[in-house]
Amino acid sequence: MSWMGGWFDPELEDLFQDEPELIETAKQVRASRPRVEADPRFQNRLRAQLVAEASRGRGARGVRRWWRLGPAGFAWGGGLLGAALITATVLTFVSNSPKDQTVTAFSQLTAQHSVSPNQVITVSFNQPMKKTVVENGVHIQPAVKVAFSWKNNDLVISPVYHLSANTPYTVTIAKTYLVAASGASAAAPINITFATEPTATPQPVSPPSLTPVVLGSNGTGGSLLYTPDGGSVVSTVGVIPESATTPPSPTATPTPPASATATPEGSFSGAPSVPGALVEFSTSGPAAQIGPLPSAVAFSPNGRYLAMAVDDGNGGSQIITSQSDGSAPDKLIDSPTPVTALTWASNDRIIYTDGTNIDSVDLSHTTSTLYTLASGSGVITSLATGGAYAYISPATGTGGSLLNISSGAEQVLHGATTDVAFSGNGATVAWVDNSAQPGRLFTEPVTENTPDALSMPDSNASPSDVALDMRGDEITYLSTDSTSGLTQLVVAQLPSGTPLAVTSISNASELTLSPGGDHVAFVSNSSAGASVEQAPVPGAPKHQVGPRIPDAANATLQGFVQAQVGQSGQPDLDTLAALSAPGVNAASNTPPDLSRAYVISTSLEPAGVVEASIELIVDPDAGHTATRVASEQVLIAESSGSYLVTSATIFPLRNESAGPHVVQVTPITADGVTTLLVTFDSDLNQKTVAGAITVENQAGVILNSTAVYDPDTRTATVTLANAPSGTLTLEIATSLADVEGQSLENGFQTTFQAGS
Amino acid sequence: MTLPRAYEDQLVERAKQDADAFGELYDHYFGQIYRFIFSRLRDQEAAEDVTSEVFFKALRAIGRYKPSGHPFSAWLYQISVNAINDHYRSRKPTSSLDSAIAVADPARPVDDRVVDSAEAARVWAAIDDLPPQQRAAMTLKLGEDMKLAQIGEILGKSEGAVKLLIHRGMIGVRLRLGVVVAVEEQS
Repeated sequence: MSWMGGWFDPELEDLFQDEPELIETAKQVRASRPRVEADPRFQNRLRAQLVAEASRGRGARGVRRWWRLGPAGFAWGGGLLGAALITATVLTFVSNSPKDQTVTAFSQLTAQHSVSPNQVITVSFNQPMKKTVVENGVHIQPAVKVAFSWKNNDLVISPVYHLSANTPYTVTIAKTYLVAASGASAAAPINITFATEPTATPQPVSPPSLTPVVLGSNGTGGSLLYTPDGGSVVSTVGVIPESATTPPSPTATPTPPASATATPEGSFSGAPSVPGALVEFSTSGPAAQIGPLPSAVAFSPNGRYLAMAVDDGNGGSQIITSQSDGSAPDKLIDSPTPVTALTWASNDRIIYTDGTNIDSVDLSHTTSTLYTLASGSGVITSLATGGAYAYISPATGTGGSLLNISSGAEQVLHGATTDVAFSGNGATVAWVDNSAQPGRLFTEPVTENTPDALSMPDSNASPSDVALDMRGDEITYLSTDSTSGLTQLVVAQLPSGTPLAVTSISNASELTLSPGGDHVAFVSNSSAGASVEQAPVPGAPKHQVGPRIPDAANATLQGFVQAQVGQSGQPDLDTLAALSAPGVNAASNTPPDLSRAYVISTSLEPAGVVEASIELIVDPDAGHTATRVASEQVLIAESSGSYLVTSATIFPLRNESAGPHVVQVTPITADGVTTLLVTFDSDLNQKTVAGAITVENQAGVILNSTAVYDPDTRTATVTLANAPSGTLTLEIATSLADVEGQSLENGFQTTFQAGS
Repeated sequence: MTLPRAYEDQLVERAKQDADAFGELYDHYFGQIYRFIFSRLRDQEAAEDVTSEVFFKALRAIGRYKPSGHPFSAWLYQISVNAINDHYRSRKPTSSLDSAIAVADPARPVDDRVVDSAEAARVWAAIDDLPPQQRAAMTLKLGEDMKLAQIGEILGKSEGAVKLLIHRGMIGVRLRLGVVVAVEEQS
């Protein structure tokens, strides 16, 4: 047995028993092994990252590749933050040849603190230069496609698509390209560093007005609904010019008249006796009659079928289904009582009510009674889409109840209820409480008894004519001021109530929102008759995928990052402390001398935690000529009614790599199409964009997508026609290149939530 | 210090669902994993990068981890070996044998020499120059004092194969150190 300098390894002694020189070498190797302890800051930081990641349930799969990757996700544009600290090099060169005139140059950007993105870059030389040679040596990082011009001895570099806002730039001209017309050469390359000003902070402004267009004429009363794709408005009492009354398609059954009677075979006969029928109005084509005047109508969940209840002439209703364009009508059932509301429970089953009973009928004509309201208990006036809930207006008094149809349980809606509306997915109910004046607007999930009063722009006004969009995150209503009598049509976000559009209007009714909330339609009544009108909703053309980030959380995030950047390189310690939960020591971990920051992504995680990816930036200066970047991951959670930063993981500063960088990823959805807007800091080589961008599902399968690059905004629009719900991953390969041929240094990857 | 096996198994199972349990595993194994990685890379930034990579990979894969009768650390070392190899494939070593030649002093006693950090670097640079499997086996044995069986588990080798790797590795180190001495003596 041998002890090797106090160390004994019987396995090695056995292995080298006949080779003592190897024992000696082993002793030498072991004695010289590194004795190093990890930096405790690194150890603690990594632990925090891991635990935070594990807490979000990503241990099994899908851990974001934080290391060496840029942050990602939905963006709150990075342009709102940070005062730019900009340095620009004063350029002074001395010719190598004593017989040549001393060459000097300067940039107009010198010592500026904030450069307009529309600014041109001028480099002024003190003598004529070899223009083409100099131009060939210009290199700008991030890459910018530019045009050159000369004004005397000044080189004017004009970005083709303007500079990016809130971005540090470095303009270099290599020494070998700095050649004067006289042949003088420079002693050093030109190196100009500057940064652009942040995008102006949006100021509170009055919500924009609507600009309605008339789609067509309407009869009296009736209601409106959108086709499932949001492309057309359907009126139950629409009127079309006589010449335009044509069958909806070559194969369709002849268009039924307004008071048509369905034959037992399910086709229509007879002539219109009153104006008005089920008419589809579109901005892209002529109005088309798709059915008779119904008392109730609904599209199936898949959008392929239409169900309508029409007067059977005997005091009851026929429930008729057809293709969505009205063709191939088929009578399902003849209800002895008039049907006042109907909806589709599934693509083959319809639920309807006559005000007292709730029944169902499927496409095989099988019926069943789901619920019967006790006599004198009120009237069932509306059904939620999907048929899980219904609204019962009271027989007397001011209350009203939400009925769970399957269980029979009733939940009284707050106040004196009128104008009840359900979202298109049946999950949210809105109503007006007129128990006091002015009336108030409430919303709540149908499964919860948690009424939420909506803030209205005019606190003296009463709401009416309420409608919700498909997902219940947008509402429209009429707001009538009790003092002035002024009526406004309001479209607002839910749950915040923030108006998206407000328009003074008179004699409007039957408000309805498109499924995506990007259009609002209504009936405008005048002495000349009624018309169906439609207007796009400004500011709400599309919807963010996934749950909305709470406004309060977003405010905390903005305030926190602004405080990190602070002023003159000094963070706002008081604000950081105020916005941080106990134990979050963001002040000590925030890199010094920050110039700006980008919030590249925010996403709402389970349990309401908001996760944000941020890049903290130190502009170049004389002491460090490269832009430095630190990636940061922040978690924000609600605490005692306010949102605080509960975790701030900050990676060490690194020199920003050459080549393009992703600065913003915004997932949006509209009308079932998911779109990602991926914005870069560089002008890209368009040919490299589509091939570099892919989207995968959770199984790693690449989804069909298209990517179109807009050089003006430096944004690639990635469109997924049929994105599955759940977590998807955006990947950008290093084959992506800028206009200077520089590739994305590291593959970029981020996850986002898709689906409704 | 080794965790009691039963407790470690329970901890690993909990870590599949419980962030704090993963944190406890991290607390226990971070030091030796970082030390192992640093001993192979001898560059703080690179060691931190690779250590992060190892633990994030472990977090990602722990749901699929099944106890095999070996310590959990063996699994972490397996990940580490692969991550280090990936690192070597993507980057050149941060130091080279050449850089150590000038400071070697073979006349000094071994015990004296090892206190010289340059000498330590020279010795481990010789290990760096070994083939990957020999390098890994040598590092685990002489850097981490592991048993041959455990090294075999990490490298996917039999105990006999590990012995062979270490034997050849030791000869390789001697040869490399000997070449250095010879060069210096000539100069």
